[in-house]
Amino acid sequence: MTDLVSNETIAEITQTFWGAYLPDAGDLIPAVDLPAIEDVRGRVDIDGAWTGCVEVSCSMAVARKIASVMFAAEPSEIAEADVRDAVGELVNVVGGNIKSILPAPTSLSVPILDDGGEWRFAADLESEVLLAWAGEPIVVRVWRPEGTI
Amino acid sequence: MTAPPVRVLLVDDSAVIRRFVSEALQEEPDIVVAATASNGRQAIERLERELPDVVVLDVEMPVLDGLATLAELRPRWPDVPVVMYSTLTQRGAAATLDALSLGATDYVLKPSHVADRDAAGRAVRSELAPVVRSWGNLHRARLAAARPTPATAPPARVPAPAPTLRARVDRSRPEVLVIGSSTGGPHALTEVIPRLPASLPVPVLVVQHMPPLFTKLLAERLDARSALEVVEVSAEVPVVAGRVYVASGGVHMVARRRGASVVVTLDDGPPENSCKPAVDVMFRSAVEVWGGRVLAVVLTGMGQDGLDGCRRICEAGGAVVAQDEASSVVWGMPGAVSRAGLATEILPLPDVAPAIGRHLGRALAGSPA
Repeated sequence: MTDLVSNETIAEITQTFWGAYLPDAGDLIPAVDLPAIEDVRGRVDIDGAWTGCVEVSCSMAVARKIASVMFAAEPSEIAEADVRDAVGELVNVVGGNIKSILPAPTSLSVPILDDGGEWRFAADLESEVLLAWAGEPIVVRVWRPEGTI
Repeated sequence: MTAPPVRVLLVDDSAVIRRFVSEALQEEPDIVVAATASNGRQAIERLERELPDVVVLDVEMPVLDGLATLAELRPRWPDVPVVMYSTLTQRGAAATLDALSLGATDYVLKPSHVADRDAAGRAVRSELAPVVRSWGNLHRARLAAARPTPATAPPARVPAPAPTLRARVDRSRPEVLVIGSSTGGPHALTEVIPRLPASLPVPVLVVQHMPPLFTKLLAERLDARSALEVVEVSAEVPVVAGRVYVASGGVHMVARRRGASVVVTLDDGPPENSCKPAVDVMFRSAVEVWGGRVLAVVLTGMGQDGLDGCRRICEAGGAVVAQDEASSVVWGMPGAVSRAGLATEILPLPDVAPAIGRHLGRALAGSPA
């Protein structure tokens, strides 16, 4: 991935999502040494000339806050379905934009959300970008099928 | 009795777009979002179940994108209006033109920034809702007209009135061909322009209602298919025979005499008929330059842009060819010209290019004798 999409590009793509969908809600900035809290995870699979997946994870509190800003609703009004839609939107847009700079043709899966079961897939970690929003961690990872890195 | 609301199937992979477009459309009393789908595969399933009046279709989606969805749904639902919900980007414009050639009925641009919900909602209500309403009502009217009842025969098409403003027909050959089109126009233009020969003895001026990026791509695509050189007019250029000048989106295109030569140039005047570029503006400028030696063609399109220009052309002694109702995606512009008695001929789309040849005094390659 380093050759195709750098960590800086992954961060930029995610920050662009923030600017478009969550303006005036605080900047998303690169973070170091921030303990990741991963209550909520979503991913999209990319298949074709490049195969792998893009995963985004954050805490439930952050996911609810994203949904609240995205859907212009009070946090108390946010339902579980809203959280799923918001995280699905986030991973769909970030994954779609990463896909657009990978070798074509590729297809993008629908967002796959962590439903509380065991969140495992046979893959090797290729990139990991840690970002912070209002001091809360958000992690974007790119995975490749086992043995392809 | 109030007609039931137009039923919409909204297809977009973005949950945010689905939500705010649904909310904005639901504020219109005569429109209801009957179902949503997050990709083309879901859309096909929901089309079967819901039989909506209009499909609003995103371009880029997982599983089955907008173009692949069109290719699947058109053979099964050839008549359901499909409105592409596109982005004003190079990729969005190219995909939208591909979609229109694959059978999409129309397109509307998405609000550029969904974060400003109020502005985005207003854009949906002012730009998407009217298009959905028009197509939904037209689709229902067409279905009703096609459904014979035991008591009544199918309504016969009302014949177009004979031309009435033909008192001063200029018998000399036209010195310019002007074409106006809107909804359905990109496809109609590909049935006309590429059939004109490289030796065409007159210049061709085209106004197609589209945003800037789209008109550039349209000109490039027509150029690739045509013997004639097709250019988008983005600055003043001299007019020469055998070249096609496509008006750029967002600005009027007018012909002007400059000494002994003629140019096409840009005019940043106000929109006419809510259109910019407007067919009327270009047609009137053609009359100012060429008088009655103008051949006008009015192709498929909503509204009545071109009506005033055709009236001036007829008064000056020029000729007007209008596309007929059966071959038009929507018979607004050519219908207005025909009903006003301004059309010299009202023809199916395949007969338009040969008719141009007749008016210019030469048969076109591949045209019926």
